[in-house]
Amino acid sequence: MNRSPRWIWPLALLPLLLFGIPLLALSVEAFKSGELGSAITSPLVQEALRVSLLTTTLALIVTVVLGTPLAWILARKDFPGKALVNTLVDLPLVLPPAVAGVALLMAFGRNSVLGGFFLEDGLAFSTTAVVLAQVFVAAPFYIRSATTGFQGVNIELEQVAASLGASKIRVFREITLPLARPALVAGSVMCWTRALGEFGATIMFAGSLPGKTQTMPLAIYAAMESNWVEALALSMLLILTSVLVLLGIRKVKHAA
Amino acid sequence: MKWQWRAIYGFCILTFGCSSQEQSLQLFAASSAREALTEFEVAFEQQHPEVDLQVQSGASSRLRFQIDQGARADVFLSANADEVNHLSETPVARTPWLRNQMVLGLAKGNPAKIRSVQDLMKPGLRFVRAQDTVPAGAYALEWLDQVDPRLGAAIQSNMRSLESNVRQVRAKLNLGEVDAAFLYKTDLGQLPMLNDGPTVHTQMELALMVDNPMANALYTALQESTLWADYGFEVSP
Repeated sequence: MNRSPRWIWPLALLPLLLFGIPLLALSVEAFKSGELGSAITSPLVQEALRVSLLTTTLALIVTVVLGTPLAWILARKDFPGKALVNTLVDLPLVLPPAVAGVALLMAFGRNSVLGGFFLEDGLAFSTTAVVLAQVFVAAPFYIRSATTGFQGVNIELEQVAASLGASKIRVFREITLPLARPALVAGSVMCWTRALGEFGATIMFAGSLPGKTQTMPLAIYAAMESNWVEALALSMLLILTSVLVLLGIRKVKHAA
Repeated sequence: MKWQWRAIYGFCILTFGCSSQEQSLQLFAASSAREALTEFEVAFEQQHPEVDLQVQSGASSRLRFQIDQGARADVFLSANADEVNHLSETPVARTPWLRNQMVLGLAKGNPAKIRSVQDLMKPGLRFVRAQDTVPAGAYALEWLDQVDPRLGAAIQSNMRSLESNVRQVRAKLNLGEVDAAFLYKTDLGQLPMLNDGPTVHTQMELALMVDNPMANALYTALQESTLWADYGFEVSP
């Protein structure tokens, strides 16, 4: 019954080669250069690393704080216009990041209404702008995952806890949250990874200034035409992070 | 089933259709020459109907990188001689060509009221320039070297972004996101500029990358064209 033609195997190998060969080539080139160590400690790489860690951490915190209530509402409540809200949450997932960058610039730039409201000089071209761009493109990953997580929690368990006298906050903290935890963690990791890789919206809305707004992907772009090995070193770091993240997610899912 | 075949046929025509008969020429050119080259392209293709001239514009450093990585360029117009010097393959022929000037452009209406070099010390001003590795960035650094070191440092510390090419720099100025930006005089358009800053002349370099009649014709036609002055370039002898 489960007979497949033999030629399916080499055919299935092709996409794997497409994914594998470039990553392998990059790693070989990086180690062959022999300057990987000194490139990783160079100021450009170190500053990009620092900016990336700082901004993605902030972006994740903002996303979790602002995204969790929205995810809970989307999972539990019905209200007019819910379809519209769902579409809005999904939009950044399919929107080209360059469009997000232009849109953010129009909204929070120096000559925009909102930008002038927050700060006389607008928010663009600052570390805050980097975080904002990352939240814009990455938050939907968390919100989607968290919504699914909250939907999966058995409401009867919450009702039992409430009937035994637990306050709403306590029910949420001790029943809902632990049960939705794997989804929340997986969503956070996806959100953080997407923020770490953010390029298009950042370069358009936040610019590229070493030590302030130049994150790792932007530093790779800047280093390509000057110091090639630094671009390779940063790429290696990002590949390593991505692999660790995928392994981590798998572990969380298994635990669930 | 018939319409699917038609759709595929239409797609193929659209994608591969018109390029079959013409010979294509690749001109890699510094982004500051973009508008002038758009006009040049039309004129050149009228003179040589059998040729499809394709202009690829961007930062000269990036174009050089692309050429070194195997991109096919017949002629390379670089914003400085350095990028041509550093090509991994020596060009067939090269010549210093268009001259330009690195200036400090000001935002529309000059809201920061920058009237002289002294005004650049004002705290809170926002500047932008190209990154060091891009010719426009290197010229900007030259400009900064010629002012008082304290002023130079103050401007550098107020730099809001190091852009990947000079047109990205201009975009930030056009949007009014910054008060002043380092760009080429020909890039200014209607924007004002600082008049009493140092004078930094810039020199473009034209390089012929392959030796064939069509590429040679392009190399010569570029130099013989008279439209450069209309766009503010100075043709160096």
